[in-house]
Amino acid sequence: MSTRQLKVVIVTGRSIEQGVAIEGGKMEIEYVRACGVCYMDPSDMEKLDILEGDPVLLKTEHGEVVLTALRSEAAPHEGVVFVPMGPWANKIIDPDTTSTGMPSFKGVEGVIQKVEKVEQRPPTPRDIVEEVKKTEGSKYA
Amino acid sequence: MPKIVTDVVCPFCGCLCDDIEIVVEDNRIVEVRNACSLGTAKFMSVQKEDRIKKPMIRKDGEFVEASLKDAIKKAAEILVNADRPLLYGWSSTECEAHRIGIMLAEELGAVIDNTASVCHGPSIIAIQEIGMSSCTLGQVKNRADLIIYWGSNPSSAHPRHLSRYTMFCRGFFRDKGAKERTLVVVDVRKTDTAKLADYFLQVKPGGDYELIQALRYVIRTGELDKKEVSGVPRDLIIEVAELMKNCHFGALFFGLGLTMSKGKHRNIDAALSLVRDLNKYTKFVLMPMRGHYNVTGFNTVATWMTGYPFSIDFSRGYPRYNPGEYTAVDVLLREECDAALVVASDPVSHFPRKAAEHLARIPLIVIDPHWTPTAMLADVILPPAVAGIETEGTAYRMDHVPLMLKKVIEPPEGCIPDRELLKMLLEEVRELKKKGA
Repeated sequence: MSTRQLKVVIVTGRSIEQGVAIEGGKMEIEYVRACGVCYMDPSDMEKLDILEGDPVLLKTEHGEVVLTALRSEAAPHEGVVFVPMGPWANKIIDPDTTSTGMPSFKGVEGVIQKVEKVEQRPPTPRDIVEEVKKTEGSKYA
Repeated sequence: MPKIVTDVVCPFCGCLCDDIEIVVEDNRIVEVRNACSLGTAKFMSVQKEDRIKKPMIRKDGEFVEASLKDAIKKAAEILVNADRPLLYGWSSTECEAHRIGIMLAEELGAVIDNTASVCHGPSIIAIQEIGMSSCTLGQVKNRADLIIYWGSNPSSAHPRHLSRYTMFCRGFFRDKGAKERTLVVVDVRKTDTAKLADYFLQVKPGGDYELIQALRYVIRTGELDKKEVSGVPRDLIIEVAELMKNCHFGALFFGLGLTMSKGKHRNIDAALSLVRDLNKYTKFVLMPMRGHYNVTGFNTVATWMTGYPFSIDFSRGYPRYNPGEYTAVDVLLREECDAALVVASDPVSHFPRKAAEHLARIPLIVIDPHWTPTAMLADVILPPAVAGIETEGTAYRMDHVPLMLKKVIEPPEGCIPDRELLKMLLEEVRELKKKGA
C-alpha cells in the first residue's frame, strides 16, 4: 500500500518560539523543537491519520525534509501548512528570486505524508551543517 | 548590590522598545524588565555557554584559537585574494559598523548586501517606484483610529508593537486607547494577531494582489461584481473599504506576507497605490514591519554613503545597484562570489539551501558572538562585543527614528565592537594592497 499524500501550500515565517531559539541556541536541540516543525490544520492531520508529534515528510520540487507535525492554533487553514523560518524550511522553498533578490519563502506547493520509516526524525542543526559540508565542490570534501 | 540600568533600547526587532530596565549584578544580567520574550532572550543570550569568546582560524578542518591580530590578518588575506567577495549581513549591528563595512566594500571592489534583500527588499524596490506616505510610530499612537496589519503577525515577530504604538496604548488624540481604534488583520492563517482583530480577512496564499486591487476598486466605485476575491467575501471587502475611507487616520502595517508571496514587489506597489488612493478621502499612512532591529539603519547608512539602500556592487570602483543581480541570494545561486564576509547574520540557516551551499565552497569569514550553522562553516571567526548590550551605537527604528543603543555590561575580555573589528580589517586590507602594489 502506498503512503497517502496530501497536496499543500507551504508558508514559512516567524514564530515566537523561533525568535527565542535563535538567540544563542542555534546549535541546540531547542532550535529543532522550535523550527523543525510543521503546523497543520486538524482536518488535514485527520486525512493522513497524523497525530501531534508524529514525524512527517514534506516534499517540493526543490527538496524534502522530515518535520514534527503540530496541530495549528491558527486554524482553519485547510491545505496550508506553516513551517517556521530556518534551515528546515529552507530545504524545500523555491530559491528563484525572479530578479528581485527575494526567493519564494511563502506559497510553495508541495506534498505532505507520513514518514516511511518510523525512526525518521527532523535533522539536528549539526546534521544540517554536515549536509551542507557535503555540497559538490565543497572545501570540506 | 544589583544595579538597575534604565531606558535601555532593546536590540532585537524593528520596534526598538526604549523602556527596558536591566538588573545587573557583578557584570551579569540577572533580570530583564518590560521586554517581550524575544528581547529578554536576546539580553540573556550574551551569557549563554555557546558564546564565542576567542578568534578562531580553521586549520586542517578544525577550529584553532588564534590571536586577534592573526585572525584579522588571515581574514584580510582571504578578502584581498578574492576577485569577487560578498559582504553580507549587517542588520543586527550598529550604524557605525555599517559605515566601516561600506568603506571596506569600496576598498575591495566587493558586492555588499544586507538582510533586507530577503526581508523588505521588495518593499524598497516598490517604494522607489511609487513613493510612500508614512509617518513616525508616535503619530500612529497619538492619532490613528484604524490599524491594519497585512501579512504581518506582530504577536510573533514584534510582540510589543500593538501595545506600544498602535492598538493598546493611549494617545494624545486617542485618550481612550483601544476603545477608539479598530483593528483589521489580513493573513492566510488566523494568527494570534488575527484573533485580536475586529475584522479578519483570511486571504488565500498568493491572493494579496487581487484583494488589494479589489479594495481599490470598491473605494473608487463603491461596488464589486464578484461574490468573493481571493477567498474573502464581497460584503466584508465592501465593509472594510468603507471603514478605510471613513476613518480619521488610518495606518497600514505590512509584513513578509506581502514581500515573500507571489508578486513580491508588485504586491507592495498595489499596497502603496491603495494608500495613495485613500489619501483622497482621509489621512492614511503605511509602514513596513522591519524585522531586525537595525535593518533600517543599514539601508539608511548605505543610502547616504552610496546612493543605494542594499544590493550594491563596487566592482567597477563606483557603486551600482541592481536587486536580482547584486542581491546575496542571486550572487550565491550563480556561484559568482569567491569569498564571503558575513557580519551578524546566519545565511546558512536563512537562505534557500541551494544558495547556502555555495558558502561551503568558498573561504568564509564570520563576525558573530554565537555558534550558528554559518559560523560552523567559517574559515575565520571574529567574536565581537554585542551591540546594544556590551557596547553602545546607533540604530534606526522601523519608522526611521534613530536611537542610541546603551552599553549595559562589559563584554568578555578581548571582545571588541563590530566597528573596531571592521576598522582593523580595513586597515589590514589597505596595508596588504599597498604591499601587493
